[in-house]
Amino acid sequence: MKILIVDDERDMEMLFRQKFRKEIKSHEVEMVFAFSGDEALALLEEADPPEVMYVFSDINMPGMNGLELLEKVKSRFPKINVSMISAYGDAENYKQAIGSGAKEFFTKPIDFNSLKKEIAELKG
Amino acid sequence: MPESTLQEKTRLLRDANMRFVRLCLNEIKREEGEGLIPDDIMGYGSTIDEKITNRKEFFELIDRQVDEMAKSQITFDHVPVFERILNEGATGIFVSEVLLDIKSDDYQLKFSLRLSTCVTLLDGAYKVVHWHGSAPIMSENDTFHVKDNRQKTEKLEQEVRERTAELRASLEKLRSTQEQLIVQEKLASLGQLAAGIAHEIKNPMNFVNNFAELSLEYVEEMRTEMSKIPASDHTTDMGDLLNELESNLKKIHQHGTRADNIVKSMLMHSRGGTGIMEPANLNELISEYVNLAFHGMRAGKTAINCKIDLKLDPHLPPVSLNTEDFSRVLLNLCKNAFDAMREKLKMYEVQSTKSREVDGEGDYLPKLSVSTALEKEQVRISIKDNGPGITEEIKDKIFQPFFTTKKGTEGTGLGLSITHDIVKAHGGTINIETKAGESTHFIITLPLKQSRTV
Repeated sequence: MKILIVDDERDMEMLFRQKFRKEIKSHEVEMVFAFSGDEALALLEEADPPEVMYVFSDINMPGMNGLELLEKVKSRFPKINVSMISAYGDAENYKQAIGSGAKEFFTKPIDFNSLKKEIAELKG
Repeated sequence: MPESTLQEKTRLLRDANMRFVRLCLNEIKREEGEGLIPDDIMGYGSTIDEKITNRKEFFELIDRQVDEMAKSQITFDHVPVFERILNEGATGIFVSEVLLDIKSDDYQLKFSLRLSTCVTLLDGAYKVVHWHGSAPIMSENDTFHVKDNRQKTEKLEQEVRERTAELRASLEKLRSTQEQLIVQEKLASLGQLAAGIAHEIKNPMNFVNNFAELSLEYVEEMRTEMSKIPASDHTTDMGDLLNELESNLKKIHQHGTRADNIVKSMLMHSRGGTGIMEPANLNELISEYVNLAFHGMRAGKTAINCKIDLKLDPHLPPVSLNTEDFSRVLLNLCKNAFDAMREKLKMYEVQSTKSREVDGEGDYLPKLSVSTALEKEQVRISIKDNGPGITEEIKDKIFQPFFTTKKGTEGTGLGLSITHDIVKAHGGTINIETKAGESTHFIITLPLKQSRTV
């Protein structure tokens, strides 16, 4: 399963690749990374239909923020799951995200176990 | 008019005089007193309009007085001073002092009036032909009112002095309130700054902790891999190095977690809009949380013996509180008190081994006293320990974020800053009274009537 992680922190890629090293090694998941909303959209549009099945996006990003990205992905590719990962776990962000069709809302610091569980459920 | 004795005539004269007084003071109605007033009555009083030369003017004066006093209540005492009966009871001159007490909704006035009247038999009835009323001035030997004027001037000056003093005091109060406000604003902006920094630090801190965790996993995996190759001096050295690496990584993770806790505590502090103020039983909250703080301390590594003294006012009405926030105030203050008393206990132990005999004092028993009291429109909470006290130099700083006297990892320097902000959000105040070597006393006041939300 191909997963797209969107976060303006470039070290996120290293962290995700290491945390999911076993799953990547065994080809259970494949991970691609984007560091802005625009980059994420471009990546999704590369293949038709897109190979990515699940997008995890940060909310606070320069340029297009995660909530805007969420709306665009949901309108263009309604089948792709999108979940938010935010350091700002406030009620307003949560409401807006769920209202715009986000599957789940994760808070930072990321609990990788719950993330792995979420991915495993989708695969099963 | 029938023949009467002098005694009888005197009685009638006095009666006429009294009725006149009562008429003048609106105690009897105009109709009842009409027979007393001849057409050419003369009156000469102390105010300009009391210059009466006929009956019409007299009753105009009386009517006006009735209007003036419509909303007031007049009571009086009539004290005769002189009395002269002339012409075998046909005429009487009466001099009296009338002590007036005038009351209305917004004022009370007491003064005395000197009244002279001349009553005489006219057309078969006793009538008042002349009267004079005046208010005495309060000084003697002052025919030309010089002393009186001086007294009045002095009185005015005295009033001016008093008013000036009042104004000066309220200006002073205003200034000190303004200073307090500035300090509070500074603290609040520091708090906001701290929260902003906290958000910025949170992400890098997460990386530090996550990568440390991952590296620890790698060390473990490395050990597993190494166990698969034959043991030698090299593998022993590598094992030692792995142990060092692991212990360093654990340190990174430990201190990273510590920093993360500080950040979390700051964010919790700044989170807004969630706390709802509800009427709460403050006494219950206090006993619960003082107890909790005590047992938390007792269960910890650095437990001390401590007496807890609760004096809670049973008449306390429900207080509008965000109980979640306010419980943190109580926990913070109790924890600080225990920490302070523990420090004093240490000092005491060192001193007593050095100079036990010179000292001669008994053992130091830490004691935490917590009380509540109702004060006007406020509730006063007092939390007092008999610890080492706070020095003047740091007293002003202790509410600042990150200020701490605790060593190393023991304190974040946020406890009292958070405490201050929470109390402020409740519309209350927090103050410290401290005596070096003896006690620290935190006094919180909370208003009883308020509807703000935190």
